[in-house]
Amino acid sequence: MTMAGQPVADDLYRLVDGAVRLIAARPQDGGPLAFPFPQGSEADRHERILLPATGTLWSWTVQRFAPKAPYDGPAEADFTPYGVAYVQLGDMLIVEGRVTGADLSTLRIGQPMRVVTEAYARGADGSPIETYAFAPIEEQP
Amino acid sequence: MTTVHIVGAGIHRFGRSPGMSALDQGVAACRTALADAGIDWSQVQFGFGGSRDGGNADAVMARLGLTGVQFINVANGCATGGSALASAYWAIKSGEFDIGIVVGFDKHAKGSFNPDPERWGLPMWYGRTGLMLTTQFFGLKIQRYMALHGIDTTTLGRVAEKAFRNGVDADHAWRREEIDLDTILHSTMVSDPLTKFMFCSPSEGAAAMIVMSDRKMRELGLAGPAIRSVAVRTRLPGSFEVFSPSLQVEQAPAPTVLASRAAFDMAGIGPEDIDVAQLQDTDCGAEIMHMAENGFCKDGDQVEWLAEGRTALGGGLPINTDGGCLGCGEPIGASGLRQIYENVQQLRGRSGARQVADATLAYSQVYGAPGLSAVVILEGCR
Repeated sequence: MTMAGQPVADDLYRLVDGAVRLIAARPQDGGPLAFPFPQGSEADRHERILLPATGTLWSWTVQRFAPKAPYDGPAEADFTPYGVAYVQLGDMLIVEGRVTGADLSTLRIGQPMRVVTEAYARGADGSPIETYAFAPIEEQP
Repeated sequence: MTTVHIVGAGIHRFGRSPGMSALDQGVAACRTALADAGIDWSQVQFGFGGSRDGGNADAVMARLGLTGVQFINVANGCATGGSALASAYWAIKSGEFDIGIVVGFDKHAKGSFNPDPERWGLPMWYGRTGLMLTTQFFGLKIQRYMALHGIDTTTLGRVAEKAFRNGVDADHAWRREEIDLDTILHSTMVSDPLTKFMFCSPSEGAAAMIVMSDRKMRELGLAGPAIRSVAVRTRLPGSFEVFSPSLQVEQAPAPTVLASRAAFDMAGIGPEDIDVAQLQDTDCGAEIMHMAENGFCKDGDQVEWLAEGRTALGGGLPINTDGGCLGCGEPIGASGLRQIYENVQQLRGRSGARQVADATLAYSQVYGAPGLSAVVILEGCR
């Protein structure tokens, strides 16, 4: 959960008091929230809103084969399946992302999840490339 | 008021056609459709067509003859074929034209599609981090639907079992052998809960239709099913669509629901009137959800419908009678027109072993990224 790697893109998430907060966009002229925050000329028309750091699993699947480009994570030989989920963050927005730190066979809709970061790939120089991801919150026994 | 008819339908078989380009296959389908209608290319006044990976659809004109008429290329994702037919329908309905051709063809590389995020207005990181796959969306959408509506994996498997069964009797299908339920359920998991045999694959193929006004049809002494309605609708905020980094908490009806309602309203009929349906089945989950989104059953009733064989040949509402996308594969530009081709054959009583007895009203629905749906209702001329 350290922010050591190079983020895959700017303006995706921020570390606030140790929690990873995704940056959503609220259109200045009203209209629904969206993620990610738009880049380029659209950015001026939106306000940045930090989404809650925790939520509940809304749906999930597993990516079991190595995607083609532009995917730049581990290719065929080194590929390991990764989870993909939609997580509802409070009553604000449902966001799609990779799942990390989970036994994929135990995922169930409704379980509590938190936003984390994940080094999903390595750059040309071997340094980690990081993105946001979702991890299960261990429930108290 | 002008009614629009399909007086000729042609197809080039789906699957793999080594040695033939997508365009070759498209031209073959056009020639078959022209011959089926019994008209000459020189009589055709306009064309609409589309292809994703096979080049520009209007390239067929160089082969069929440069007659100087208008031809408009259509690009609407997996709904390209339905959208091309819709455009031709409106062109004739408006009174501007009497005879048109609609064509779709494609030839895709093996394996999953790898769309370019920026072409969809999405940031590159969405593709780089491995989130931009249609297969994931299909898994994510049916996973939630199953949890909400009590659908089990056996029901998913039954959709594929039926598709492969139907493909056996369809000359234009790719998969021509039955696969048993157990094999389907236990084949390699691709995107949970969907296994390898629960997905359609990108393939090759082409289909073409000759569309005509009722006035011209009578003048030429031809016949063919009438297009009772065509509706193309796009997504609302809050609908759960492919390639969505985020979704609204408040969910909205899918574009298929909007297109279906509009098409039924336009035709003045309801789902209970339909005799045969072709529904977008890029995966087993899609067919199950589309059964409800198109108004044929309630959410959750699919378990009973599939177990009782109601959507099989001989059932109350046969669905995807030629094997659908699961049995034919999906050449994007041609897929929606394959559905129309199958319905035209059914309505003309030409479907042989897969013929639906006394089929009079036929329904087709195709869904495309990033969230649009096209519905066409045909009425037979018997």
